[in-house]
Amino acid sequence: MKAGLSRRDFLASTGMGMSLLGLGLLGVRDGMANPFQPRPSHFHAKAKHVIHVFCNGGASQIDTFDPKPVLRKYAGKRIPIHLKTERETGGAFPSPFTFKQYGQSGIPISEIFHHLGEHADDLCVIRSMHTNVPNHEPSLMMLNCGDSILPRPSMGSWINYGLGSVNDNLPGFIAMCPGGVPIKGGANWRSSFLPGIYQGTHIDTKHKDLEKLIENVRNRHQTDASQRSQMDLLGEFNRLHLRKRPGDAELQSRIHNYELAYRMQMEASDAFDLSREPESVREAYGKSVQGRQLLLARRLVERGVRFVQLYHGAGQPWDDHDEIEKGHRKLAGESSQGLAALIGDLKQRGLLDETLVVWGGEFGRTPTVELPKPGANQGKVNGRDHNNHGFTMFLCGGGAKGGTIYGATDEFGFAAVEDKVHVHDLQATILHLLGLDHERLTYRYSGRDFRLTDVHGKVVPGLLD
Amino acid sequence: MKFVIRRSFSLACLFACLCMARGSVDYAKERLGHWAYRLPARSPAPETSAKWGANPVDSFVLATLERNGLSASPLAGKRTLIRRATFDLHGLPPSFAEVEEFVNDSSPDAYRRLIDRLLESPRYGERWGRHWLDVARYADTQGYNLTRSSKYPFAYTYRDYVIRSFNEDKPFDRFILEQLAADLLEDPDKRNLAALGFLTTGERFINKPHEIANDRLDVTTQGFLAMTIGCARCHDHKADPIPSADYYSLFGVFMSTQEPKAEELPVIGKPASDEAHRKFLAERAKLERRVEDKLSEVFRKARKEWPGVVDGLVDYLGKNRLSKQENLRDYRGRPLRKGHVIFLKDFVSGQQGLKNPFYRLLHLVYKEDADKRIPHLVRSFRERPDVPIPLAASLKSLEPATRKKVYEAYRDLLKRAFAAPLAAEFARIRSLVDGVQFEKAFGTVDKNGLVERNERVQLTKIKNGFPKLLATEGAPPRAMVLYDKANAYSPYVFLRGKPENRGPSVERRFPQVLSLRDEHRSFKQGSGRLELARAIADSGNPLTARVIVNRVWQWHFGQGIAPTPSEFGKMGMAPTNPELLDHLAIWFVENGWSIKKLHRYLMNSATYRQQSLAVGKSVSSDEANRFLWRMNPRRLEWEAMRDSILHVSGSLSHRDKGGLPVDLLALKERNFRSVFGFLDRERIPGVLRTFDFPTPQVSCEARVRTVVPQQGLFLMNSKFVVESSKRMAALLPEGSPEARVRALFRRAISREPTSSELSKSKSFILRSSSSRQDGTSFSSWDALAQVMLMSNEFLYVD
Repeated sequence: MKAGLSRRDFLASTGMGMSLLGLGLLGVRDGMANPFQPRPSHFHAKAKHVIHVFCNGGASQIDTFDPKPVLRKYAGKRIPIHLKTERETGGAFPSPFTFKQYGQSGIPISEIFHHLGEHADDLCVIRSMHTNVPNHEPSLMMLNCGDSILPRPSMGSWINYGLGSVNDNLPGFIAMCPGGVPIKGGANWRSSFLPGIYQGTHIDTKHKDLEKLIENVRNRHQTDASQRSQMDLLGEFNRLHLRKRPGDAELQSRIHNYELAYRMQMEASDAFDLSREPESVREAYGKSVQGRQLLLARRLVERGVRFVQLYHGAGQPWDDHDEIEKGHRKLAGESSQGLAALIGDLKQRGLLDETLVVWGGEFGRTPTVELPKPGANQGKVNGRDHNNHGFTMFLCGGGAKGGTIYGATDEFGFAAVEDKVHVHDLQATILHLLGLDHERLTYRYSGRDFRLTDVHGKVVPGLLD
Repeated sequence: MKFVIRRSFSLACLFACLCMARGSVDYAKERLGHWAYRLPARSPAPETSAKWGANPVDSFVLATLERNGLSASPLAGKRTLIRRATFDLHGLPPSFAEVEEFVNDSSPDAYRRLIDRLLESPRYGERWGRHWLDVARYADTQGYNLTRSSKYPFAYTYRDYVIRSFNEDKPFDRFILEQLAADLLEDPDKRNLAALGFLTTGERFINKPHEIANDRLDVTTQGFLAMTIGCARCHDHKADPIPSADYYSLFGVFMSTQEPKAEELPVIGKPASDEAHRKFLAERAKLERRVEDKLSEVFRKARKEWPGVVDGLVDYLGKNRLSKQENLRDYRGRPLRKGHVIFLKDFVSGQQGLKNPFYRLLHLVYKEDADKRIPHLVRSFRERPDVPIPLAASLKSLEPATRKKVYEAYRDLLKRAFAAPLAAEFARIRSLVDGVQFEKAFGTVDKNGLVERNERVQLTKIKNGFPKLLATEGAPPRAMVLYDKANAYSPYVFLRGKPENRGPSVERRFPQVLSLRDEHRSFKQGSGRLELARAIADSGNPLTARVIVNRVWQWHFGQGIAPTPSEFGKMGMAPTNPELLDHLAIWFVENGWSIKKLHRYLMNSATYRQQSLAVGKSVSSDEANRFLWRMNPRRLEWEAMRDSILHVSGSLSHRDKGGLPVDLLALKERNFRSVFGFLDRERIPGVLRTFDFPTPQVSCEARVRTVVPQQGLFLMNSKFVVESSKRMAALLPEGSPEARVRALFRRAISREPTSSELSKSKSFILRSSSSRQDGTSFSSWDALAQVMLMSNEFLYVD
């Protein structure tokens, strides 16, 4: 991959113009040549940060936010709507979970996410999501990067490119995943042709020890003052080096990156140290890995990190082809309390208005039962296949319209039919909530202007407050 | 503009799909329709208006530059050139002395001789072999595995083979043949058998044969042909003329092979030392004894259990499918050994069962098909004089009329016979069931068959010691070969990729769009691997030479002429300079598929020797440098970076013969180059991933290049870099600060400091020597040395 960045375009696109041609001479700490410098959005907007809770593997809409009691009538029988998904599915498979309506809006929520009930009036549940392909890899790429095949930059990178950061000392985009990485690994948070500094920083939240979370984050061999003077000399050498190679954006971005790394040593110790939270707060989030991740997300957002993405776990934990009742109950059980605590906590701190919480998987699951297939599932006939035709995601805070159910699937929950929202539409809407026009947030690469939504996507007004 | 291109592109896809759906692919037409399927065309070096360049490569490049309104950059200076060439061919920096000598060598062929010298060094193969290992998705482990050790003890012999092949400049067509079919070539040099590691060092997918074959198919077709045939596993290829049948034709080839166990692989060399070998043999004997001891223990236990379980075993005589039943239990709910049941079945059904006066009836019943003859059998049996009295009595009173009833009668009798306290009237039965005859028969039983689950786990633990032992210095190196099965696998198309959904049968053969010769239509010899290898290494194959020259180009220039080096199909990107690519492909074959000649040809071009500065009017029109109006600056990959840090801090050792993999992150007294590092497919260390090391799950066509703060943190705080800085500082000569700073610059970046760098360094030393009273053992010279290792000049090559 080439860092195909022309300095001219870079400066122009970051709104810094041509006045900084002598940029090699300007210190990063002068705050001028800093690609993370906060930049004005295209228009005024409430949201400044995003917390994306990613149910990687694909959460089932029918078992969470899109109840379809009619399936009970058809249990085990073919339903009139049968669409092609990754694998063969059979008769209707009613949800094993009960639903209850919550709040003034009366949004129905499955028992497995009952904690969220208290925030029902803040949720904007989109029941009519759809994407292109019923396979993990392309759908992850579509949701994260706006294209299922071609290596495009991820949403977190685009948003950092568009808005910069309000904290110089932490990466603007942090992707958390306990125990490893999701399918497709780093491609999920890549910057692709956008400058490398916008790439997500992956953190394995299985660990509690800071040095295991971020390797080598502690300077143990010299005092901070000594290291500072060392970094200053390094900066001087690197700028002398850059002066002879004007226009090399990668060299420039490395200079900045050292400074970021330097400051991360201090800032990260603080941001990632959950022991600084009162016991009651940690208790509220729950002391599971998910609870910890969610609390970390709040601490990061509080410190100005633009985009925090939380994967449930390595691989594709939500992918319940078998035993969906057991599986989904466990997965939701791990995250429901923390999610509710996060929303409540953000609200209490007055951060919910400026923080957009996004919840969902790369696709949903079928209302029909997956049929046994040797090697693919355990043949227990109690799980659901991938479903790209219709699924549910929810938004909360950040200017999203609370207490809303938007769109609908057919009567069985198989495909989105009413007010359909494609992943590109959601992306356009997320950018809109952040004050970015998805058609104007472009980057010129290889002779063409690229954008997150490619040539697609429409902002969905019904999702806006 | 671009959108128009995209749209017409997808129309082309759609058209291709429709054609194939009708089952009427016109391969002759397809061969002409897409650049990569056409044979490379010879075109004369184009005329250009500017006079520039050293060889035809430059004419092709310049013509394209001119067509796009671009102009070439000036040639780089000698200091830049030697640094560029040394990193490029060795992945290590030139020494200060080498730079000076080259700069002062004014003879016209100094540069040419430099390239020759670099190509002669064993360091070359260690660098370029690693490039190929990216393509070969090389690793030292099998990937996820439940209980068995997942380590490949001999994967390193493939790595060493690759390094040696590059160093020996093995013709690339031969390199192909060996990697796919070394076992089928007449070659007295047994070391080349290790080439098959190309196929066998991939992931094992918990031993799923279809997945293993798919992985091998994938690495072969992407690696050599830049075709994504793997896409045709479930349906005809969406864009290229590759029907599903082509996938299964090749699948058949890879399904027709098998591999010996690690300890039966062919030995291809000597252990590191005789003493180590003796130790290895002793350890192995010890392990074998432990296995034998464990098996004897199981055997003794099983023997002891016999009288207590024999009644329950009888029930299983009537049951056929034992293999499916994991936990055998008797009528009392007690666990049974499968080995016991099998023994009893064999015993009863054989001659011994017939001769044994107790078992005889069971033997007859066992052999009898019709249930209705059972009463007759029972009656005539019980009249025999040698039948033990309690048995005869029991049969008389029960009169069992079905097989099941017979078994029940025996079960009951045996239960009573072995019930404590032992009753005298059953003594004869006990001796017939548990006596001399039994003892003799049981003594010959396969002990492994008696092993039950818990014991198997213990046994596996012991046996895991063998691969571990094989991965020690005293074990002779072995080649990870595979052989053809005695009977080749006959492939069928699996409809939608599902094995249970058999479609038409297909022949093992070469993909149809590439089948230019009769022998491609059906492979006749064994699995067809050698025929496949020959078809790939055929100079008439339009892809092979193009693919490798494009890869070599990419490894030199940072990007391929065709920007997607493992995808030359219609989904890939078209070459930016197709005439040049064709020229190189033809030139390469005509020059004996020699990679080293290709290096010389490319590196002596003016294109390669251009400056790398992004200045001038070309910046705006071709910022991505697709047409090579300048050289691309390069950042050291993980390997080159680590090796260079070790090199300049005096901790790097060389091992020309290769050997066992080593831990890359532990800084020892002496350290080997990164290409020799141990790679666990499942657990690539975070630091390697941070520096964009590709995960060896699939073939890697090109490394990505990211800039993330963790890279900075590694260079700032890791023990590896901190210790290396100290070592480098310790190597500086005594003397004035100026002399020491000069020595440091020479050592780290092979040049003298500028006056500004000199004064900054000196004042850093002065300033921090006084302030650095922090009680740590990290001196200001250590800190300055570390600055050099962190500097962009150290990590980037112009």
